[in-house]
Amino acid sequence: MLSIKNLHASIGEKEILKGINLEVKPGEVHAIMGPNGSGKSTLASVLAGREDFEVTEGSVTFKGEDLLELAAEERAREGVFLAFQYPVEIPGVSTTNFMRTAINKVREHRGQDPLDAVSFLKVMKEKMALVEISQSLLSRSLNEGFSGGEKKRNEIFQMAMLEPKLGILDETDSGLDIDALRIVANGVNKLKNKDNAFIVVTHYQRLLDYIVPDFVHVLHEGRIVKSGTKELALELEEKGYDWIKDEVANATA
Amino acid sequence: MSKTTQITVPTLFPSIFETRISTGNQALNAMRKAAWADFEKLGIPTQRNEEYKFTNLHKPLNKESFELANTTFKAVIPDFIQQFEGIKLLFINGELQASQSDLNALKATGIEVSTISNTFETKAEWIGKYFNQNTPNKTDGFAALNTALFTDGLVFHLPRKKVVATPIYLINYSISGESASISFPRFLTVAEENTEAQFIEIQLSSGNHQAFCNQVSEIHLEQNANISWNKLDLGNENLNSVIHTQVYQAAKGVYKHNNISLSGGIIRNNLNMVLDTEHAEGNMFGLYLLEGKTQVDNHTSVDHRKANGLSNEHYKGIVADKSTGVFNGKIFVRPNAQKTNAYQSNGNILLSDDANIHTKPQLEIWADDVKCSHGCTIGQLDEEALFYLRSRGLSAKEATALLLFAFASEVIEKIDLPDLRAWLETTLTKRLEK
Repeated sequence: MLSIKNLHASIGEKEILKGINLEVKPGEVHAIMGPNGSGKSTLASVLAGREDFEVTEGSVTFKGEDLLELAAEERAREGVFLAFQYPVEIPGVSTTNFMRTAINKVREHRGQDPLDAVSFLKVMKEKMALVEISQSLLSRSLNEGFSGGEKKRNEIFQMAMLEPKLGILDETDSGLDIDALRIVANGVNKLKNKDNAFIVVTHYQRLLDYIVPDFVHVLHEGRIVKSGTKELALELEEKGYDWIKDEVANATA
Repeated sequence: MSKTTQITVPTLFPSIFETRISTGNQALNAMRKAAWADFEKLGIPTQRNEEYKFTNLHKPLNKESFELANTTFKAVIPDFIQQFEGIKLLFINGELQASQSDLNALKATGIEVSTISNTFETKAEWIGKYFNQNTPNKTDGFAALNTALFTDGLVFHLPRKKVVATPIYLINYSISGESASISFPRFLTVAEENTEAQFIEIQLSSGNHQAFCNQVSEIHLEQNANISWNKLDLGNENLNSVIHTQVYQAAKGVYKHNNISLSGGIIRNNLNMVLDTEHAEGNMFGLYLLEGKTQVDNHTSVDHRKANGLSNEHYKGIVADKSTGVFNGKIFVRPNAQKTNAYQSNGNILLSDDANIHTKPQLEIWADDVKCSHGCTIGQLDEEALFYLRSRGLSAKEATALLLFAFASEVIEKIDLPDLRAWLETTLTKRLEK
């Protein structure tokens, strides 16, 4: 589904991604872990189409298409979804109204008829239950005055509404207490099926107790330096990131 | 502060003045004469006058020769206004067109309505208490000029306990004929104790020559009067206007003003609110959505003269192309006006490199126990918000329109009339999606 080959990306003069290789197949969950500043969020942003970053080398294909050629909105319509680390507050736009526009954009792209008000509400109710989010919260201005947990639940709610093929969760666990973490993880687990895939970017292992990954990759200085199964995450939790840094240093020494 | 200037339309204004004072009520003519003397001192404000620094109305007035606007031109109320629920009154260059106005429906509400001159004949003492009492003839040349030359406009008198649920539309067409023309509309609204009404003033224009509208509207509120005034600037690019709205609260009441400017040439709105009583409340909201070369200058002032008053002011602007937005917000808190709460904000979004914004908060506070806040912003759209919306599938254009609509809708939401609000929302959406 997603094939990243030798991906290099920079912001300004600074190269952040220095040759990422990653294959994601339908039905898989990949965790991207790594110390602060290793390039985890940059990878998520580049995949979603944030224009602050410049891809200098390499390729990304998504469902056989060149993903890097597509604008952010085209990627979204093709089925890429980024759950933001810091969801943006937008006064004057309610989540409900915004989602009605977004879902119909995605449907139009897929050749489906727009949802009428009744069907939209029905879908919305269903997805609201998934992340235990209230109608009143969704009627308010998008993320404005929401708590950290409410913002993250809103991200997962939007993901549920848009039913992406590839969901990218950028540090969705940051700033969440254990209850919110469980709710968010449950939401993701219920959305998981054999046709979609998830990339879970996280600094800590604890989210992976709830969203169990098929693969764990460790990012360090813009490269994937180690890949493994969920046991790797436990090892990182126990030993920290320093041993990986040492391993890399020794290998290149 | 003001500078005297040579007026290069020398014969027109004096000849109108001579005609105006040749007949009519003595008390009224005395007012006209005093104002004419003020105007002769003040002249038309130039940009050397601090209050008109960014808005040059001297230039359009001196560009060509003017005639007094003809009040017998024919025009009809446009369909989009006809569909609004309410009583509609049509004015051509400031004069009521009785045949096209819902005068019977207006009278049925119990509002006493009459011309200014007629009221001076029949209720001289009464109108003397209200008319021209707060107009800044001594400081603003345009106000003085209107007082000296005004067309015989209407007086709306809401007697005690009169609550009018039906909105009242005042539709003023500024129409130019064979050449540039100038009109002087004038209105007085007096809301006595425990009254309530909603007015909608719509400024329109037509004609291929310049139409200059110099209007004064005075609104007087007594105890527990609750008046909302919605003003829409919808003229064409030939309309230049100076509109003074003078609000005076003599006793505790609530006044709400919504000013929406969507088109025109140079539009200057002077909104002055005097809260001369304890516990008065005044609200001023404004939106200017400008394109082409339109310039809108909102000069507002709120004068807190007594204690425990509240004022809220919130103006927002979106300026595109070569348009210009000006905002000036004065807040005066007099020594007696302790426990005043005064809030002001002005937010602007620039959509092009050639668009301009001038914004200036001006607070003068003499009392020590008050809460006042002000803030103004000028910016472009938030890139992060645009990316967020695009990452959900909205195109850059759709995301931009949505963000601009959200920005503007905070002002539109203040309008209490659902049909007018819906029309504005649709109009705004169309404009923003262009």
